[in-house]
Amino acid sequence: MNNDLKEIIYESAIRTFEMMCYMFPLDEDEIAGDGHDMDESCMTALVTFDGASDGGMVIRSNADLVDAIAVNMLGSDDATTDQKQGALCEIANIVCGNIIPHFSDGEKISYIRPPGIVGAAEDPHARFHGMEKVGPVHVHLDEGHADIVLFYLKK
Amino acid sequence: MDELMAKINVLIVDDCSVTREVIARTLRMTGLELGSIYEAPDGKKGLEMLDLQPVHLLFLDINMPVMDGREMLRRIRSHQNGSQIPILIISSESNRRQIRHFEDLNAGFVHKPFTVEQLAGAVRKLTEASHEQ
Repeated sequence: MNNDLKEIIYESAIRTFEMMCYMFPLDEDEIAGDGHDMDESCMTALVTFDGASDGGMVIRSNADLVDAIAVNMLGSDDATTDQKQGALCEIANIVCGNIIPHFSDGEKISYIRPPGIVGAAEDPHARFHGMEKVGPVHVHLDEGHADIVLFYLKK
Repeated sequence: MDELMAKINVLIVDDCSVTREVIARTLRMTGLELGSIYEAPDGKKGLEMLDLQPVHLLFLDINMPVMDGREMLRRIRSHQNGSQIPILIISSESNRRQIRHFEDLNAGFVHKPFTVEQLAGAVRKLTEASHEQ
């Protein structure tokens, strides 16, 4: 199931970046280096869900991608830090929202809670201790890259 | 059709300011004749805005603090003056049961992520249906 979920996460992320940010995935031979220059300049957003299944999704994006998300979503070259954070949270919200139907159990559904930014000193995975982990799913785009990890509780 | 939709005032209710801006920006790209675009961060503020401003089209998020979109939709539809206002729910969630519930309350639904064409199509469909009633 987790391999299927990785594929679903990737497809959901690519579709979201294409439609909301006008970005496109790189082919494997276009990816420069290891594609993981994830340093302190990165930004991390987290969104949780509960209901049919409990869990959350963490998306960590490099600085170039964060800037490009905000520019492309807002149509402005001078996005503020708040706007960049809001834009990444919205991407997390959309990607996660497209994944949780796969956890539906008949009429029971999962509900997404408002996303937020994770501070640099915080381990975003710690709150999901004991849950199933899917990922990281690496998403390489023409404007930057992101890693996505999904956690869920089997019920 | 365009004449019918001349200068429509829009209210966008979403707790994320970026999302509100994305919807407003996408709306401007549709070619629709827009009047004022009002914004509110939650259902409670949205209802207050509806009392103060003439709104012809409402965009509504589902998950919001203070008052969520489900409750705001229910209150609008149970109010005599708000029973006919075209409402478009925009959400990344796509549970069939929830969508049927929104449709029962005479609200359209746009799934996120969306394209300009999809949003424009949903708005036209909703406003045409509204004018036919």
